[in-house]
Amino acid sequence: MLIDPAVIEFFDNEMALVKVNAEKDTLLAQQYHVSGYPTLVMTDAGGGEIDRLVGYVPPEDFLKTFRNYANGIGTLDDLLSRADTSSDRVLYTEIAEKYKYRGGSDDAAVWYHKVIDTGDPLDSLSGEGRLALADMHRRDKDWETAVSAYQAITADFGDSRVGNEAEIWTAIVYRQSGDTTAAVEHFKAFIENHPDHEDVEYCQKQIAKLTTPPEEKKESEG
Amino acid sequence: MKTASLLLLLALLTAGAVSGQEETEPATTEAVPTATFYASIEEAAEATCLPWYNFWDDPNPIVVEFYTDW
Repeated sequence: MLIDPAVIEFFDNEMALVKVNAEKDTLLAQQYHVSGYPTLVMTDAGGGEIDRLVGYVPPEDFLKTFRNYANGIGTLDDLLSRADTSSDRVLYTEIAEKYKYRGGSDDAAVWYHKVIDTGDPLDSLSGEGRLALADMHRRDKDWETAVSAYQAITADFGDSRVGNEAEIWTAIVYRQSGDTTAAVEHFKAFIENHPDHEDVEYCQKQIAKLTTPPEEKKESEG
Repeated sequence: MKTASLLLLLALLTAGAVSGQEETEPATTEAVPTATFYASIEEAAEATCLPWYNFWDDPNPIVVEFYTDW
């Protein structure tokens, strides 16, 4: 992305670019709650965050986003001021996501709840909000709460994209928490419930990994 | 004797250098283009506050790119 000629010209003429190797300057990366790469954070001269962009995007979108940010459009502050007089749940979701990327879990949770509380609790926006909230518990390693949240989503959303995603995440949380038996059971259940789902192969691989005895793992790895 | 040895050594070194030049293909490393960048926010802030920098406009905003080598 940063090797595109238009992007280079943009940085040379319109921005002051700072490059930070997050593996070396871990303190700064932590300070800005960087969790994915590349992360580009626009700041004021004192280092205060204006907004950020995470991941790769096409050069045109990249330039548009940062030019907008530079003009105060689409930043967290801009969205918050718009939300004062709006009941747009998509806008609430965007605010929640911006907080999430900045590491502001509590603020993100407030806005995800607002998305859920102000609309149909079973529509896709509510579903995404509930998945995001469950994911926060998972990241905090609060396994029990995360599993309950994912299972409640599966119960409410059934055989839908949101419901299926929550079902797989339940198995993943069990795996991450070290409960191999429960993880395998849930991966198997997912395959049985959705034999034609595109994630069946992923589940099969997970089961194979979790059920391979340690000695065989060592041999196959060696 | 000493002078002869030195001359011989010089001759050998010169020959080596010449033959080395003939044998070694110059490496064609294509430089990856990149934008001008600073090593820290402080450095960027300092640079953008210089009087000659953006004389007519506000200082350019700072963008910090966090990357990894992997």
